Amino acid sequence: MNTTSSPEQMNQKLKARLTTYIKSITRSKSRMRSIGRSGSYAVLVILALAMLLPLVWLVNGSFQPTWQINAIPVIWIPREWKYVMAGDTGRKQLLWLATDPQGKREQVIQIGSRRYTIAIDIAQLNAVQSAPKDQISDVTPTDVNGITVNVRQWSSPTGNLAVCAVARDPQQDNNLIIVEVNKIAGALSLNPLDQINKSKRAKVTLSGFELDIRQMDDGRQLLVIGPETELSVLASPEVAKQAEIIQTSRLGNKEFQNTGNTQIAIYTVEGKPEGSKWIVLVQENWQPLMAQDFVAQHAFIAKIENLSQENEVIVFNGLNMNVRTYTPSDGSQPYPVAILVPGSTEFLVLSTEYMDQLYAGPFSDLVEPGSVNLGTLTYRVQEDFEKGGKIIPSALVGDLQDLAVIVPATVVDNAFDASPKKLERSTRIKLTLTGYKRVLTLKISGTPFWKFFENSGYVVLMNMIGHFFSCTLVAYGFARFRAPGKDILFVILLGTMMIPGTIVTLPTYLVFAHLGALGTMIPLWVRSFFGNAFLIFILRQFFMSIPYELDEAAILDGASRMQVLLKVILPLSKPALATMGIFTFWWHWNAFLDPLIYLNQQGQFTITVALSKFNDLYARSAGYYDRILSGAVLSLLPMMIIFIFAQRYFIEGIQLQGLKR
Amino acid sequence: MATLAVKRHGNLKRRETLEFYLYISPWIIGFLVFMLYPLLSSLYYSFTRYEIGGHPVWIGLRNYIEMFSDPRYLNSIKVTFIFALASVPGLSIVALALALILSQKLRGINIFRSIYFMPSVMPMVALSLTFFYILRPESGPLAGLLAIFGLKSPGWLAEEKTALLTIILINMWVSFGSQMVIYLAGIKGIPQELYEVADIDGAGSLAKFWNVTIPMLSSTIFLNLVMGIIGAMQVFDLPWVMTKGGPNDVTRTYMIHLYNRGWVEIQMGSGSAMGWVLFIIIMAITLLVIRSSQAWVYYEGERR
Repeated sequence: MNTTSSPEQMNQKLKARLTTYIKSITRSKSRMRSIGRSGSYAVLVILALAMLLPLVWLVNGSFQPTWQINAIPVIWIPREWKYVMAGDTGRKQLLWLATDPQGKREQVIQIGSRRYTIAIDIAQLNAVQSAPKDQISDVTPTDVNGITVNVRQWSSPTGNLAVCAVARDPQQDNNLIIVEVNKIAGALSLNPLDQINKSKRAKVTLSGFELDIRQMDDGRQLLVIGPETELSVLASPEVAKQAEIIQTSRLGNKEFQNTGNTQIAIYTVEGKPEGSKWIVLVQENWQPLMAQDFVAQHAFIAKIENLSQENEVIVFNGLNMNVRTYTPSDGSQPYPVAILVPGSTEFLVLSTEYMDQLYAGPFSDLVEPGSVNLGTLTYRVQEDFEKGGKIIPSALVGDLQDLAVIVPATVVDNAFDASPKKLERSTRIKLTLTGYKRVLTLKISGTPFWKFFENSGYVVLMNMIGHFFSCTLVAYGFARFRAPGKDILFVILLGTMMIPGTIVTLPTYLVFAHLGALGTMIPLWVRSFFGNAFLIFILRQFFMSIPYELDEAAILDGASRMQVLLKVILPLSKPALATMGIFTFWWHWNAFLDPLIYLNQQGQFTITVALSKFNDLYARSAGYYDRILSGAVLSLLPMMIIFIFAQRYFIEGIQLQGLKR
Repeated sequence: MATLAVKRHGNLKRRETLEFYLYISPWIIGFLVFMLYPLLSSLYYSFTRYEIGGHPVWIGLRNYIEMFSDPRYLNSIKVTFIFALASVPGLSIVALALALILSQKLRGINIFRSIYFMPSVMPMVALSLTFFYILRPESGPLAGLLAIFGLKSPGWLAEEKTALLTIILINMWVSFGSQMVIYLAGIKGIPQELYEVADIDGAGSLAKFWNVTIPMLSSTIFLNLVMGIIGAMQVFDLPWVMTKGGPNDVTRTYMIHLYNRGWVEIQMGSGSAMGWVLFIIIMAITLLVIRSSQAWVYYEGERR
């Protein structure tokens, strides 16, 4: 047995133990470090998300239609609501996803709606009772056998009961006639309101109470308890393909036809083959339109005295237009003209021979048309009207028309109804550019939105020119000349950096008021031609780092000081000049207070002021959110691009500002 | 000969002086016309009743007396101080903490730095608009997010209790990046040997932080504080776009009040007085910080 070990063995054991000990320490240390590192990363990532999400939301929203911007929860990938065109009518039918009675999920369009109400089959009801109102709670909509009923709690003498109120107690004013919910579960039914309204009224006595009921055609006696609900009537998108558009006045008799689990209204239509039946997909106001180019080319202004008094309504392409006779002043033949835009003394008219060019668009698709002034007349133009897949700027002419989009009843074979709450929009992933298109064509009191970008660009450019001119000269002066008073002046220059900018805002405004420069854009850039302390400081530091020997060599060659600046110093100072340019862009593109106080005409607004005013006007109207978000993204874009490519200059500049003391 | 040389030398000197003043003349003119004159003239106007288009009428201290007895004005001072006191230290702490994390040698640091810094260069108006829509209490995305957890969204900007706090937080979101970048430069400037020496002395990381990092950064911290206070006292764009100073004046900062007095009510005399009071407040705070800084700021090369 070898119980004792030699000193060498001891030594080795000790060594081994020591190394494992050291290893374990370093391992735990490195474990600590890696824990610390992943902790750091966790903090960084969480914060980065917090920094990015608002911006991502903004950019995402700018590519979405307004219904999506307002959707909760947020839709993180821009989508487009799918639709089918209703034949050649120009009406879009939006697509929904719904579950049909067979339990199949499918794409459908809505072809109408139907109101239902809830009723109890008297035959299955044994007893009712009367209870004082003050013992009965308010209603809570509750699901009973798949039907949502208004349930109340009754604190009855025998305990709490879930009940439904079915009528007022005719004998006691303060009492309601009620039934217990668990006794009516099997007797409840959902009934089309039109059938209920059609049925005969009757009275039935139950538990000594006389109740108003409905005698249905199928023999059922129903006690109507409400509430009413509206269900959407849905059909296959195929239905829309055969759509055509007619004047609503041509709709004739209405009757109901059973289809699927629902009924649809079918009409006869005047002028259509005898016996044909039609379904109205949608009935709404349409606006007669005409391509703006065409109007500009062929329409003319007629004085009221050249037009006949009598007015005739003539149908062109299914649209009613007012027509009068025009007698030219030069004595040539009178001819009929359609009134496109009426006025008080002058009318915009068009010879009826051109009226085959007339078409119509659903009024709901026309979003804030712009206006065109023509002498005493003003007419409106929808710049982004889409017709047959093409954008055609269209003038709004004539009066709104009540039109119906109809399809033959024969194409609808399997319609069904479903609660609107169970419908889901049928969408596909797509970047919607409408917000951008709309914001760029948008006019705020006559000023197109892109003009604000142009104004901002102009202000930035003038400031750049100003800074380039003034700051290089002044910085060169401070960097390369010796003169009495220079040091004091430089201290003053540094001192002005400490004076907060907004303090001099109002006094400077008064200076410009005295100079008569208010209402112009001059105050926004002219100060740059007189230097900027911070930029002068940066340039001077940079110029001083350029060896003076280069100047001397040039001077020996006969160069003047100005030539030295232009030929020697500036070519070597590109990084400093870039910093200057970027800072100028940064300050003046983002500037808000100065443009806000100096600009009083809409046409001069910079993008920041315009965005803010735009928001003040439309923050409450959800239909404008796509434009506001797109406008905000566009205003960020130049800074974003510069930041991506020239981040270094921003950071170095900021750090210089921070370390200048 | 000698006198000629001296004379020529003198001529050269005079010529250089002349040239110097010629080169810096744009700045001198700008300084006189757009800095010195406005400041001094507005000091004069602050003692007058002055509406644009009219003539200033001397009324002595009336503007100042009226101002300090106007509850809305006093409220705007209160709002601005709350804003500054709540945002400046918070900003400094967050920015410093992140700068410390970022100054470790980790991979991908530059990306994080860019992300944090990015909002600082964006137009404040566009960022304000973004938050304006994100924070809509009824249908905004944040309300939607809270609803998932069964929480009801507060009114954020619409409620008196939360409006100022919301603006303070958004301001931090926007501007901590630029402070962080300054701290990063400061941390980079700390000589590595100091840490090595501390290591030899057996200092832990906490001890190193308190005894090396903080003292070496004290001048940067100080500078960020001063700049933060100056900036906070002048805050305008953010509350203006989001609330116009409402609801019920709880976000009506000094500059919003001044803007309303000067450009909406067109009272240039009392606007000038407010400008000067703000100037004095800022200068006083800056001086106070500078004074106190002598106790805690460590400047390199300084002997103790």
